[in-house]
Amino acid sequence: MIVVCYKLVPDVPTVKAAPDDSISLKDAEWTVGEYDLVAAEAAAQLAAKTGEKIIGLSAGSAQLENTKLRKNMLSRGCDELFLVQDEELATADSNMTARVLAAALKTMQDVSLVVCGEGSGDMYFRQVGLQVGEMLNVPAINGISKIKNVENGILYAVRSTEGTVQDIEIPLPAVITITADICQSRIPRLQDIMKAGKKPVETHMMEEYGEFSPSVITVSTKAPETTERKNIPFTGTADEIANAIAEVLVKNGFAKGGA
Amino acid sequence: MDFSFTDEQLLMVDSIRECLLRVIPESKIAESYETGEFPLDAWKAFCDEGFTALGMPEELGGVEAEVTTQILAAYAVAKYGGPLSGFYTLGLTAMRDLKEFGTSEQQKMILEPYINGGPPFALGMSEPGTGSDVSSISTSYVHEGDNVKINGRKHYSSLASQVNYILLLAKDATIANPYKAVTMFLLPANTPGVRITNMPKMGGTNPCHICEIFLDDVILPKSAILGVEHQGFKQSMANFETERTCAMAASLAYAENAFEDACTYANQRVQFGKPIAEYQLIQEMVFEMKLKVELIRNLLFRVAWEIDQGMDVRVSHALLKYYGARAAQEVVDDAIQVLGGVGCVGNHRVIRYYCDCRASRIGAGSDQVMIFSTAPRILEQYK
Repeated sequence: MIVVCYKLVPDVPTVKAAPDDSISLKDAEWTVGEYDLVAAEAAAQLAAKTGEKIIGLSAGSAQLENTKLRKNMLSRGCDELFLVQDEELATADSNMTARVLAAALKTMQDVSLVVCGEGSGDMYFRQVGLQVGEMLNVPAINGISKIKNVENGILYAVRSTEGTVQDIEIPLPAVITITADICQSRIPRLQDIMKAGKKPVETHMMEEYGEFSPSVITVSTKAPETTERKNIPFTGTADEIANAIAEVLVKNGFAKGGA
Repeated sequence: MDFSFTDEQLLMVDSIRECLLRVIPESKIAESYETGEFPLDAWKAFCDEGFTALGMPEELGGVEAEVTTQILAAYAVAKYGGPLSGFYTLGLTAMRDLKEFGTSEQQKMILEPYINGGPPFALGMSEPGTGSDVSSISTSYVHEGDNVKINGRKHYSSLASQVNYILLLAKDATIANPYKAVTMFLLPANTPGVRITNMPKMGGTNPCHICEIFLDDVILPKSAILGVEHQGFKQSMANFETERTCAMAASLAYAENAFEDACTYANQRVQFGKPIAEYQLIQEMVFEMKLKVELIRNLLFRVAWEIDQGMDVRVSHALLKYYGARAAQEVVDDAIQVLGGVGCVGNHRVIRYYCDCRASRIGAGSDQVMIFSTAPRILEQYK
């Protein structure tokens, strides 16, 4: 059984900055993180080869009750969902999220592989997958850019880092996080959308797995300060315009002057 | 009363949007209008995701769906798909005829390729001497053994030069009463004696062609008859309700896109030291545009719902067609006013919408036909 982890995140264009520069999610629409959709597709492509079932696993707040978002994941190759809910999880740091996911994974039978996205669609810490692997005491490898196949309990994959490409063999069970360009997320087909509502969804509350508290305290999350448009016209040749823009950026402290 | 769409309907719209943003981004839409070449590769890629299967019979690989869902899909394709909307709305209209009147062989012959990425089929109804008055068509046929021989001419036929089949209306030359003489035929576009030419279109180059069809001693087997011989007039009337509703799905999308373009621009465009959105004359247009978009939406999905309930939509679909076409044109016109020069010069999409919305007040039943075919029916209720 392959587990793909996903997070519900606010859709970026619907996130607004409040007048005090705090982030307002009041009118935000929620969606599945885009990197997680890629992870779901990578898992689905592997499952098509191995014939394994795919479980979508998420730890989050009441947004997990949104039936459209559930069907969204279930129309993209997941056979079932396993959801862990608590309001604290809305703002949980990556360590707390990883602990909750690991606790849930320990209760699941026959997990051969856990696939995570490159990072979450909102905070993008790129921590959860590796921490889950560590907590489960299984190999945890990030940056997987190609999944080849599974043979005799070994996952054959490619890991890309800057300037190098590694062919790696990962003994299963394991946790991997994939790169955003490993594949393109699928467009759910009508037939799969129609079937999604009939697939099983298992829901749990976080308290069933013990007590969890954050290991990081977030003091504040602010939007960049907004400034009035300066309405400065730039004219001349391309070089003259470029120089004039650079001068304005330096003058306003957005860039450092130099050669 | 519940106005909400189901999760499945909303996910379908998300899927259509996601697919179209991938296969036909705005740059590719603009390119197709510059060159006049229909992006067949994008159409094929769109069909490969299974969207033309919507509403088609399951035994042919289709996905059964209510009219409301099909109209929602047509709206989404028009909102995000540029010229693909021309194929899709015609497909919904034409395939409905085939589902309703076609034999299983005819359905297999045409629906299967359509579901798998082929073009829809065109409608050959209007003639140089006959537009709104369908009963007066002069294209006619005579029986010749197991075949018929057709002569005549059609025009204003959308996409006829880009499809493989044309649904042709012709009348039996031996029958005087026009209501009992008209028959529907499925005409393969490559039949000897058929010549199709493109006509110049309002707004200039366009990837969705509008065509003239010349029929010179065209021989067709009688198996090409769609539905019942001599029932073509009645069959085509049922077709109009779907065609008009589909057309308004596109009008809603065009009006909404133009409205959104105008709002975005009004918030950004600074004149006399502040965004033009802060001027009340602009705000009045924004308010009225929004109102019209919402009214079109309400009427559109109300009529679609009525069709799904099996209700009589002879009055309501005409109200929709009349109001939707006019209001969409007014919205696009106001949007161009807000956009100013940006909306008039260059290749902004509102110019395409302007031409499409203007033509929509004539195609599929003109404003005037909507009134004179419907007002007596409304008055009848109070006799």
